[in-house]
Amino acid sequence: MTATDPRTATPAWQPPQPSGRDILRFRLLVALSAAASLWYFVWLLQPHRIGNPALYGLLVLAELFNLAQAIGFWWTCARRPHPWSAAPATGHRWDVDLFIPVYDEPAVVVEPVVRAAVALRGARVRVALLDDGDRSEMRSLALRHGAAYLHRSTHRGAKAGNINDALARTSAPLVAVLDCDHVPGPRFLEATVGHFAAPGVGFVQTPQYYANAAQNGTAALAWSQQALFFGSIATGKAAHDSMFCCGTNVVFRRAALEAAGGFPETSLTEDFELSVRMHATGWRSVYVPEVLAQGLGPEDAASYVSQQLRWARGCISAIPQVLGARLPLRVRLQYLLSASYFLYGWTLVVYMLMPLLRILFGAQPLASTSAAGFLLHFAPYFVLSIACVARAGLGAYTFGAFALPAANFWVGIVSTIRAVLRRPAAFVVTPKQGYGGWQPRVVAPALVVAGLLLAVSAWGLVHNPTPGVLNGVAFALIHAVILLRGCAVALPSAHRDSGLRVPVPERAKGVVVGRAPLALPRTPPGVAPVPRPEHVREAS
Amino acid sequence: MTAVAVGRVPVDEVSRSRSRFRDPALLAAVTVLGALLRLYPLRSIWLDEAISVTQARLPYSRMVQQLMNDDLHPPLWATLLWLDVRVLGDGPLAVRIPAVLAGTACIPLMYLLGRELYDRRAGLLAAVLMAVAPLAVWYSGEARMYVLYLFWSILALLGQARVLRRGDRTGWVLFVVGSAGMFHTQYFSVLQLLAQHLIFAVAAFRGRLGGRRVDPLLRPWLLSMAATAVLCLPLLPYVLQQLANGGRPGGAPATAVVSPYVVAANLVWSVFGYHSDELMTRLVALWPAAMLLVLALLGKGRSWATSLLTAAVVVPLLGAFLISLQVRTFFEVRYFISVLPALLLLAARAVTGWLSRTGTRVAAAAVVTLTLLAGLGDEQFDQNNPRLYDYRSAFQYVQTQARPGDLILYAPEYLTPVVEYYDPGQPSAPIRPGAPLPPAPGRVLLLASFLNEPATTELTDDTRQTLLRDGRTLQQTKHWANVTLWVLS
Repeated sequence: MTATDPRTATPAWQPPQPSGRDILRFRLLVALSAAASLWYFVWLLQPHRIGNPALYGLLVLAELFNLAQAIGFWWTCARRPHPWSAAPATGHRWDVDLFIPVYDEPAVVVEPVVRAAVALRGARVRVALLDDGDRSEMRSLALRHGAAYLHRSTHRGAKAGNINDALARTSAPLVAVLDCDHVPGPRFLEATVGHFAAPGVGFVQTPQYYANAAQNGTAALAWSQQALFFGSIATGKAAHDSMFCCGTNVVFRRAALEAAGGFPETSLTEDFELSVRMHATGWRSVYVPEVLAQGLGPEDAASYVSQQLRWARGCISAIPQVLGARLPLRVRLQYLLSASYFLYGWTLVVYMLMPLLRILFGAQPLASTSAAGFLLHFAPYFVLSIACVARAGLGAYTFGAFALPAANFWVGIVSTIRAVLRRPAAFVVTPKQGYGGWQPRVVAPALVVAGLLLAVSAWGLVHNPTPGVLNGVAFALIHAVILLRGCAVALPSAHRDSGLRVPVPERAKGVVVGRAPLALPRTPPGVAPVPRPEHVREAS
Repeated sequence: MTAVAVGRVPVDEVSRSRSRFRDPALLAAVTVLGALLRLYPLRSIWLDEAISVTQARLPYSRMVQQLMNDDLHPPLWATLLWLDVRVLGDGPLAVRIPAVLAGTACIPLMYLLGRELYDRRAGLLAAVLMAVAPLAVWYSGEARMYVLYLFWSILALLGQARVLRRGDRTGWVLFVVGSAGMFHTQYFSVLQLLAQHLIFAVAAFRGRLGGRRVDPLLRPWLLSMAATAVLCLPLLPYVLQQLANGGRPGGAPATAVVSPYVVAANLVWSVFGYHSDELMTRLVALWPAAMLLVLALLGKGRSWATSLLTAAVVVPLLGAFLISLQVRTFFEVRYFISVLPALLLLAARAVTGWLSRTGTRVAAAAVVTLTLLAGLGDEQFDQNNPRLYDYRSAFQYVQTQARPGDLILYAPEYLTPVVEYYDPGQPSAPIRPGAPLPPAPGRVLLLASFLNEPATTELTDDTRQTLLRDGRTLQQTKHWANVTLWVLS
């Protein structure tokens, strides 16, 4: 299995190291985008543009949300990165406890991780397999490779509780965490631990790389989003001293973890909340832009959607915490940008509603006399916004990656409602590892909306093919195409097997989100958040 | 890539060998199809063509003199037409033969350009698209210079592609000949030349040309500019004379910036051809569909070939827009028809390069081709096409109806070359504002065109009212595409 394990091959991607000229070009593009945005919004916000007042209000709200996200994206990515250098060689040889939390993942997934972890260079590493599944198979695996096997009698707090338990039973000044599907490269510690020579560094995060992107369509799209985040966005966040912990491929200073009270066990957003706490208590974060561990991305639509649900719920719930934390302004803004990202689902509903109402009832947000003006002012804004994302993605961000979160617009809506109502969020869909069939239930909301858009468009074409209706039809068709492209991950052809699927626990059905690992939003407006190959944990 | 052996010949060699024979055959078939589409249907000669034919009937020196005094076009097309009229005559087909030939030659050139920039698949599809492209077919059936301008522009692009890819002398020769040919045909070609030299400048600035250093590029590039200048030098006195005479721009001064609708309409025309105003309004209303194209470009990366083609689209469009700030009517697709090859080739590349499955590629190619064919059909046969002027049918009708003593009056006055071309065989005269109408012992056949111009409509209405007040009665009203005839007895 190892011979064909994509996680042990040389990674096909490394985060780009932008040169001064690259940054200058991006800033130039941002300047153009900002000018185009200003031009559009000054035009849009004229009182005489108002068509239907309610629709106009909704449109303006949606556009302002996206503008705020866009400005945040520009601000993040246009920042000149800290001059990058390898971790300083201090001569100090650190002791590191390396935790590999595991629940019921198969040995074929876990074993390469343990094998690679015990062979890491650059520190005195003690590898511990934290088994919440109490399986003798894992015990044998750990012992076979010379790793410690830690398990506990009370399985509280899911992954966070598992790590906290291990923290209490170990003592090294540095603690590394790897998800059980992330195979570290030999340089993982060499490239990270040196940064702790600086006393204020609380944790060092490295990219998450999906090694199965070439073999699986869903993982490929998820990776396309991942590449944008761990490329320009993470580099920019690091330059703003705001990079947050992503739950795996990360090394912590034990003192910082203890100062933050360990991993939050009752939070919906453990990684995120931990990062906020650490930054609020004065610790700094470092981002190492080098792929040092390789994992597996979600391989089917169900896995992707269930992760999105967890992440969206966690992130939206974290907004009050971010607002209340004692953080420097720019750090707080960075967290807010990330935490609010999943609200994009509401804006998509507004955008999709507009053509439907126009075709069916002739109602539109803008005065009809503004049609030509809308084209003139909106087109540069749209094109330059997309150009900015394309430039930041450096070719890695694709149309499919754009369409995937759009097709899951409902995730943010459901999560917002549940967060506001403070309802525990149960997973609706049970992801099946390696499921190779058609998964229509997972994408049912998007399919229904796409069907509605197509049906109303057809009705409009037959009954009233005026230029105004045709314009609405064109908008409706765009949304339908994007939704259907995003739904393509639910087709069997998207689930080609990488040979190493991320398993999903049998007991995932009906789990409570509050016990799930945190998903972090990390993408700009219109850009999808990145799923991670972490596993659903059941409520204890 | 490792070839899979079939017998003793590797598969890729078999494939290459097949394509060596198949491509020319396919290309020949496509070219023949394109030629037939360009010959049929043969629409009526319209005003600009009639003006060109009238000039071509003159002795050469007088024609050139007239061009210098009253025209704003270089003399190459007029010279070709002058020769054509001497050899083949001035019948509708004869005067259009040069355009048909140039338009047909564009098809294999597109194949060569596509193959040079991308691969043979892109070349073949680009040739197919050029064969059926409504705008190319339209101007291949018009005795004007635009399709020759198109031909030279492809040649110049092909030359530049060869230079950037191979750095060979043939490329430079093609580039220089294409550049000079363009300038001798249409002054607006400076926009494409600007785009192409911009690409050379960028290549030189970056210090690389097909993997080479700057030096191999810089010298021949400067030489190519010098050679083009030398080839264009004979035009200098001609151009100076035209400028000195303040050559009639033929367009209205700009009163307002070109509207987004005009820009969108020109883009639609460039790809889908000319259509009725009603259809154009609907097509332009579909502009949001272009947003999908923008999104589809995400993650596609860049190549020097695509950069070249993009520059060949954007720079002329932008240039035409800037010029239109002075003369609004200059933002007109025929003046930047050189963007067509780049647009078609980019479409061909998207179909053949972005789609990985053969079936999907073929289906997409079929959809694109059929869409253009639909546009072509509507363009050629819809009588509401505002670019269609059916003078032929109108004058044929006049000839069958006219009796001795009848008088043909026409408006606007500048329709004279058309009237002379179709020579109705009856006395005719233009109507002028405020001028008395000539006496007509028989009926008056009042023929009018360009009735979208308020002045012409007003003049025609006044004349009709005058004739009615004089005791005449309206016997008949006939309409053809953009031509109206009133028969007053």
